[in-house]
Amino acid sequence: MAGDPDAFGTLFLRHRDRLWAVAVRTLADPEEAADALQEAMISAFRRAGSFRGDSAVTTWLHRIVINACLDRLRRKAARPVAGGADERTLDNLATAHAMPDPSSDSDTSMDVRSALRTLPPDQQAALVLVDMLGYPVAITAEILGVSEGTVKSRCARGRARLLPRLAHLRRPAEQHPAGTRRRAPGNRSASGDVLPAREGGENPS
Amino acid sequence: MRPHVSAETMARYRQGDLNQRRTSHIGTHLAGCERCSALNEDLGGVTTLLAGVHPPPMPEDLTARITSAIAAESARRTASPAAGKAPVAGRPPAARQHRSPRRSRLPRIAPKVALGGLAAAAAVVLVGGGIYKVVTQTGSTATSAASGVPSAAEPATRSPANGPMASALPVSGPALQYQRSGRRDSITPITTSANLTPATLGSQVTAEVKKYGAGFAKTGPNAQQSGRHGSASPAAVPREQTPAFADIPLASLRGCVNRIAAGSLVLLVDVAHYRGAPATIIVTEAAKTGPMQIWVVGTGCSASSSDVLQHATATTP
Repeated sequence: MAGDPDAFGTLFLRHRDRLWAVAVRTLADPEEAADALQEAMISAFRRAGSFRGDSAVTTWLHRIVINACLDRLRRKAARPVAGGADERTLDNLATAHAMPDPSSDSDTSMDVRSALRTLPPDQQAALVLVDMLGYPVAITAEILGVSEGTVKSRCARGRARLLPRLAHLRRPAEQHPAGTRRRAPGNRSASGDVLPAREGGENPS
Repeated sequence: MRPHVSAETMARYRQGDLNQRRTSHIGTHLAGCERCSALNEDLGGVTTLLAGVHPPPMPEDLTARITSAIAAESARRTASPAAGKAPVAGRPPAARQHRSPRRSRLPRIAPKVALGGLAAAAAVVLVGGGIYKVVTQTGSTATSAASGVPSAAEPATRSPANGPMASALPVSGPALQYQRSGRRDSITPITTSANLTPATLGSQVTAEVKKYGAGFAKTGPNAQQSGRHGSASPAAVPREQTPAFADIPLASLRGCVNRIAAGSLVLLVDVAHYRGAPATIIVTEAAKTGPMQIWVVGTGCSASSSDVLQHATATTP
């Protein structure tokens, strides 16, 4: 794979939906998510030579993508962007709206994502992988390069901090029947999700 | 009664992140405390809300953009293995100051530089590059680099032929039902050995629609109803033996066509290749007077996911 753009391109094609799902959930702005994904893939291509072990290639790609996103979140936190982002987000929403795709943003999604933005980047990343994408804690720990205990405590702290910010959105009767409210982590069906079913299950490696 | 449980402790309890003693204490407390039970329930709601977020789909051109960027990076590396300082498109190599560019063999491309410089980079390093125009659905015109990068492995079952429409006859599959303005219609998918590229997308698809598209073939009954295959008479594949058509499960293909068509008339479904990778071309017509919509979707396209690789419009022939 090292230095072979065709092989790497195939690898990217196989995982792009998952990787996009990670990037766009971690970064609010789809345009920025696209930039981060591109940056991550170039970086992964350069480092492909140092990659060892085929079984964890998905984990490896996830790690590079999420790190590219976290770098951006941290840079943004350090140096607030001077305008432009809102306009771009609106443009993107308009484009997304024009597509025949029912998964475009709803108000609830927007609210949840902006609440998520208020968390420290580490907690955001943990919640994106565990709660939004349904990855098991063990896999998430591997992707993030931390212990399972750290993932658990980041998720727990993040959820606790989100609670007051999302209180106004909890209308469980509307969209989420009681039976589905307490799903086991990693046991969520990917209905309506961009994760391709052909990847088989929730386990990304 | 023990004091109430804080939100963070409750979240850790739910996550199984507390020791056995505290876990059992909270369990006992929960049984008799409505307030904490509600908190427990509410925390479950946070996960549900997070799981329900459906962000925008992947931009149509992103796959092509990234594939081109990888090819450009590879070519840069081949062309100047020692060049750690070659700027891309006249811009400084690294915008990321906190990570030394010297650590990697080549300078990092800052994303904006990569995007802005992509056309130039691709033109320099790739053969057969060109510029194509994509007219987006909103009516604006975007120009992008057509790199012609061969990007994916070619499956033995469908080997793509480069250049204009391959001369081999297409194979047709069983009719696919889809909803058209609330009514049921059908389209017969075909599979060709065509390997479409951004540069030739419009002209190739126009030629295909003319030849095989619904309502365009010169002979046969019900020309306005569904896809037929005119004088070319592609070999028909028996229905009951084909749960899949050209490696794509029929259910996925049907779901994909319905999703992409979104109520429009479907003129053509061709399971072919795009930039060397398996892709399905779906051509729809929203209005008789408007242009036809060309959708190139990847193998991930189904009822629940679009996987659009490229979208363009062309004048209906």
